[in-house]
Amino acid sequence: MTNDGELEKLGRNTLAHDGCSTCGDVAVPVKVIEVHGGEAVVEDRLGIRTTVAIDFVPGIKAGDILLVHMGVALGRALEVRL
Amino acid sequence: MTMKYVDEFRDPELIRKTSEEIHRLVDPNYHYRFMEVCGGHTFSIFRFGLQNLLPPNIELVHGPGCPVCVLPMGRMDDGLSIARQPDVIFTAFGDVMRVPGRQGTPLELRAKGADIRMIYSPLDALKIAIDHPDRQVVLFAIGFETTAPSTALTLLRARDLNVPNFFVFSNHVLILPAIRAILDSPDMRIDGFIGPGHVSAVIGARPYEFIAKDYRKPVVISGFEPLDLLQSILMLVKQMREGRSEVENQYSRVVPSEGNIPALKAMNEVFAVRPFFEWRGLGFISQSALKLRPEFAQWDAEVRFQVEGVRVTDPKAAQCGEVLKGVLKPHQCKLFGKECTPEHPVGALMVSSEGACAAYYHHVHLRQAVGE
Repeated sequence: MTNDGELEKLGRNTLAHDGCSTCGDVAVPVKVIEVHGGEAVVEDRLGIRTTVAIDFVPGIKAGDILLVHMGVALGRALEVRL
Repeated sequence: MTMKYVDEFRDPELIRKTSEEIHRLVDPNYHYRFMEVCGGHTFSIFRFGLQNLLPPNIELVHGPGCPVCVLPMGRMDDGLSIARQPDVIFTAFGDVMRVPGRQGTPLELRAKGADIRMIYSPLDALKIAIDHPDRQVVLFAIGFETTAPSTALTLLRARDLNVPNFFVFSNHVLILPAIRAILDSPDMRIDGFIGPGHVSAVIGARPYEFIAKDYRKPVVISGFEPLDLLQSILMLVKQMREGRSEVENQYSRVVPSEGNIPALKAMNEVFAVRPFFEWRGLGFISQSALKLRPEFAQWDAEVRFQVEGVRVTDPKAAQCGEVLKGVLKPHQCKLFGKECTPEHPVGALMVSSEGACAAYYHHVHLRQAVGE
């Protein structure tokens, strides 16, 4: 399970509970497990896995943290800074 | 300050300190009105009771950032008229399934026999089209800049895979023209904006500059945890106190200033800006929505099905428009909690969990009802 706090710093949403699907302003933080071509297997903080499109986050690799919404990765986590 | 865990964004001590600093820095003789643009922020504000941590002279105004809430009923009717056609499989996201048109919701239409399927990703709709080559599969696409890239990606794949029976009914809207319309509205006085978090992960921080430069209003792009929102409010108060109007990024752990360039490129390849589009509560706003480019006409449901372009006025007693513009609070609507509830929504603001009325109903109204 990926629940090491890395994902939680980006919020508590999970693949099963991602807020309002059409709004999407609350995306789900996930960790990349494997990359296969244009898709990646990712895992949320509860250990749930799914496959997402990674067209918009080129160059990602296993271990990276992404924000996904609607089966598509929209961004990656940057440095944590407040 | 560096924070690693979400618990730190909910640390009572840090929250108390931030709340105290806001209290210390506000001008007690001024009534502040800050708009949180995004429905996700509205939801967090109600869920965590953040208004209770603010001085009484800071008013949070709920903005138009809920796509199903700003969709006029006529677009639902247009979509459902496509769904009624016999060879169509109509696909929509969960939140859309309960949005009423004049003749009921997609769920109700499905109960009458229409083939309407709930999907999680636009890519699921494309897969249904590939699996059912004898049917016409329509995606009811909706959302701001967070969802438009996913629709764009799906259309690019439909083109690359040459899928002839997949169509998109685009209701995608853009957040910045809505903010401009609010700023231009004579009955609105907003002192600053809490900018949307993940929309900004796509569009970046720069597109908000006009708010700071032309309208002289501060903008702080914010995360969704309680401390994120309180810090953003503190940053707005500080800007006003120091006479600044700038775009600041509280959510830098996610939002790069340039946005997501591949996602913006895909959107630009697939979509063109409509000359105008109707928003519930805000009326027609120019350059505020996305349609498919002519190069994608063969996948455009509005070309394939010739939708009627229905215009429907909202139920008279419902005051969704006033609530959307922040003129009324949800509970001030005549139907709130009576005829209009999350179980039986009259207006879209009561449908989505991030609609201001549903959020208010769940987190304020019910608590008051049980005497908390």
